[in-house]
Amino acid sequence: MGIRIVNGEVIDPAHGEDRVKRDVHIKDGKIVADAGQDATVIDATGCVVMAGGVDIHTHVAGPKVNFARLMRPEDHRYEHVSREDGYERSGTGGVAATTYTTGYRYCEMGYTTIVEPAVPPLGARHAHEELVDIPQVDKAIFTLLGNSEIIFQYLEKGETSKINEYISWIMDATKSYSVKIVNPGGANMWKYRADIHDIDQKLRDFDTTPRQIILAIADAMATLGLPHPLHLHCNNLGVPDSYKTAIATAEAMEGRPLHLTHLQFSSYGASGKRKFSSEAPRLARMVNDNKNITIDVGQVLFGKTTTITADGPFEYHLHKLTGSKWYNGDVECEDGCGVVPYDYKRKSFVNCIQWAAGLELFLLIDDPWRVYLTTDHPNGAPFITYPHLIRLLMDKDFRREQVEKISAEAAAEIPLKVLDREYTLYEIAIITRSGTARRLGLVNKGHLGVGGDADVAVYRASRNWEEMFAKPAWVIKDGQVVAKEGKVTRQVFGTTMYVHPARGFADIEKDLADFFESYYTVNINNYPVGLEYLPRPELIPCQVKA
Amino acid sequence: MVALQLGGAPAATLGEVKNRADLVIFWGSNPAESHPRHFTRYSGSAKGRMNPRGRKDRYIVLVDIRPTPSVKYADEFIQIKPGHDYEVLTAMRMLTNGNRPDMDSVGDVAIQTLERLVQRCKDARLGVLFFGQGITETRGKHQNSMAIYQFGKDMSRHSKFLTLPMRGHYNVVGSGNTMCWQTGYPFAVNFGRGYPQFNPGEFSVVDLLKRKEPDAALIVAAEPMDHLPYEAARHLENIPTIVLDPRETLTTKMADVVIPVKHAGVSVEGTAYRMDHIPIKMRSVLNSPWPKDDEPLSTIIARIKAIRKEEAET
Ligand SMILES: [Zn+2]
Repeated sequence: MGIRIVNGEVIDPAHGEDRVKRDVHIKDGKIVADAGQDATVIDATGCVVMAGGVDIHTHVAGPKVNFARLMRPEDHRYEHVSREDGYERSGTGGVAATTYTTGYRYCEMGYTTIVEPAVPPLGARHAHEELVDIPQVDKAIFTLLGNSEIIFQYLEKGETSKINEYISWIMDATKSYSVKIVNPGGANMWKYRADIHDIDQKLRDFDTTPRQIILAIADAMATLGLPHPLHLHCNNLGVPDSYKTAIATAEAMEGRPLHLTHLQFSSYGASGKRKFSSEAPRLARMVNDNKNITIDVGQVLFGKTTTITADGPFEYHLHKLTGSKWYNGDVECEDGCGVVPYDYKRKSFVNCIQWAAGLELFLLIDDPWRVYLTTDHPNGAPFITYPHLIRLLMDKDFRREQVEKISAEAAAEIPLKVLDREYTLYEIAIITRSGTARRLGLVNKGHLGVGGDADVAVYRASRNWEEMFAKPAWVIKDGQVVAKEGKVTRQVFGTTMYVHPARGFADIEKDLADFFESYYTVNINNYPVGLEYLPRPELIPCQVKA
Repeated sequence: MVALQLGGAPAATLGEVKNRADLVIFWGSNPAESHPRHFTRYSGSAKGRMNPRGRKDRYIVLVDIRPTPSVKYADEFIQIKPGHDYEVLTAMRMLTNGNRPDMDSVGDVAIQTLERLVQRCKDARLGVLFFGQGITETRGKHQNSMAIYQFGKDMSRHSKFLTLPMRGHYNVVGSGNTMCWQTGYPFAVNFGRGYPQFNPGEFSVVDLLKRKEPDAALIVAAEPMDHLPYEAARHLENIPTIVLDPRETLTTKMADVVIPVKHAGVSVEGTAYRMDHIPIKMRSVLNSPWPKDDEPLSTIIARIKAIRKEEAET
C-alpha cells in the first residue's frame, strides 16, 4: 500500500522546488505520480518535506572505528539504547556509538544514506560485517588507496593502464563505492615514523610523490567511470599552513573533478601572535573559483570526542600534544590508522579558530551545491550535533551568541565575526541531501521527483532550527514509515551500494599473485570480499565516457 | 584487553612485521610451541620487502622466566625472575626516557643487558615486541600488558615500534570485535538491564560463576570446564547448561543439553579474525549433518519471543 504526504511544503532543490505546496506520492519504495486511492495519508500540515539526508563522510564502521569503541569504555557508559525503550537491538552511544545505535540515530535525524569513507582494503571484510548490523540507512564504503604499495610500484614503472586495472579489481574485491586518499604517501612514510610535507616530496622506498599518486588515481577513476570522484584528505592536515598544501593540491588537479574532504582541518595558516590562524576565506575563494571542486567541511564543535583517521602521523602528533590514549594500526602494503580521544574547548585558542574556520567555509563558499555538511564524524564532533550546526548556519543571532562564549583572543581574530549570511532551508536541503546525493552520483537519492527512492524526512517547521532538525515528525525509508517524532518505530535494513567497473584485470593477474606472495600475509584467494557479505547489495552503474 | 582500553597501543598487521621488522622480541611467549607458524610466516624466517634474506635480516630476542624450545630460534635469551616482568619493563621505560635506574640489576637481569636491548629498540628500523600468556596470565595481569604498551608508546618517540599480543584461542579476536561493534565492549558485557553494561571485575564469566549468580548457562563454542578456575567451573555443574559445539569436550560431557553444530571453517563457511584483527574468510571443506551455529540460536530466540507474547496475551 502506498503513502500520500499531503499539506506539506516540499523542498526539493534538485527540481528547484522551494516550499512548494504539493503532495508527495509513494508506492513500492519509490516516489510515484499517484500512490492510488488506498494510500495511507500523512497530514504534513505545518511541515516541510525533504528527501532523506545523505551523509557523504562519516566514520561509522570498520577496524579503526571499532578500536575507537574498544578504547573508550567510558564513552559508552552514560548513553544507551535499550529494548525497553522499544528498540529491537540494544546498544551504547557516546561519540563512537555501536552499530545499531548508529543506524537508529541517523534515522531519527531524518538521514537515510551514509558513507563510511576510509576503509583499507584489508579492512573491507570487517567494515561490511559491521554495515550488516547498521539498520535504517543505505550504506557504502570508500576504499583507501593513497598509500597502496601496488599502485606505487606501477607509478615507478609508469604503468598507468595497470593502475586502472588494479583499481577496477580492488573496487570489486572490497565491494566499494569509490576511492579515498588520506595523506597520500604519508601513511607509507609513517611506517618509518616519518611523514610527508609537500606534494612533490619523494617517498622513501618508492620513486613517486603525492602529486603523482593523486593524479594517477584520479585519472584511473575517470577512466573507470566511478560515480563519485576522488575523495581526498590532503597532506599536512591539521597543522599551521595546511591551507597552502590544500591549494597546491587543488591546483595540481588542473580541472579534474575532486572532492576535498573535511577541508576545515586543512584551512589553517601560521599568522597572528599564536602562529595559528584561519585561512578559510582563502580556501573558500579557491573553491568559488574552481568549479571542479566540491568540499565537505568537517565542522568542529565544542566538547569531547574521539578522533579516528587513516592519517597515522597526524594522530601521533595529536597524542604527543594531548598526552591522551593513542592507538596506531599500520596496515601491510596498504595504509594505516590512528585513534586519539580529544576535547575541543571554548577556552582553547586553537580550538576556537578551528570552530570558526569551519563556519567560515560554509558561509563564504557561494554555491551550496559544492559545500556539504559534515563534522567528519566523530573527528570534529559526533554526527548527532548536526541539528545544532544547522542552527549555527541558519541563525546569525544564535551564532553571535556562540561567538561571545569563545576565547576572547580568538573571537577578536576570526573572520567569522563579520559574516552575516544565514542559510535558508533550501540551502540546508542542498548541503545535507541534494548536493551530497548529486556528488555521490546517486541519481535516485536526494530528491523527491518521480522514480526517486522513497526516502523522505518530514520536519515540523519551527524557528528553532535545532529542535526542528533533531526530531523529524516522520521519516520514511524505502516507502515505509520508520520513525515518528524523532523516534524509530520500525527496524528496517537498507542496501549496501557498490560499483563493479567493467575493466578486466588480465594484465595484472600475475603481478598481483607475485605481490601477494612476496609482501602480504593473506592469500590472494582469500582476499576479495564476496557478495555474501552484502545481504542487500545494490549495484550502482559506472558511467564510462565514450 | 583492559590494558588496551586504558591506554591504547602502537600496533600493525603482521605483514608489517614480515616486511619491515629488523628487531623482534618475544616476551613471555613460546611461539615454537604456541604459534608454530608465526615464525615462518611473519616474525622469524619470513622474507619481506626490507627483509629479503628473512631470518638473517632480523635480530630476535626471547624474554622469559625459563628457557623454552623457542630459545634456539633466538639470537639472545634474557631470563628474568618469575613475577618480575613489571619491574623489568619499568626499568626499560626509564632507560628509554633517559633515566638510568640506580641499581645493577632488576628481576635478575643486569641493567647493562637492558640498556643494550633498549638501544637496539631505538636503533631499529621497525622493532616489535610480541607478548604472550606468560605475562598476561601471571601476577599483575593487565598491569603487565599496560607496562608493555607504555613501553611501546615511550619507544615510539625514538623509533618505529609495535607492541602486539600473541592471542590464542580460535577467533577470540572475532568475538571480541563483534561484541564491541554491537555493545561497545569486547567482553564481560551484562545485558541484565536491557542494555549493555561493562565491568570486567564484576561481569566476567569467572566473577559471575564464582558468585553463583547465573541460574542457567548457554555456552557457544567455548570450553569453560577446561579453561575456567575450578570454583567457577564447579558452579556450571550445578545449573542447567546448554552447549553448542561441533566436538565432544569436557563441557559437552557435563552439559544437560548438547546441540551439535557445524564446525565453522570446516563444514560451514564463515569469518575468523586473525590475532592482528584481519578477518579471514573460512571455507567449508566437509559436509556435516548438523545445523549452523546461528540456527539453533535463532530458533531459541524466536521461541522465547513467542512465549513472551503468549504470556502477555493471557
Ligand atoms: Zn574523515
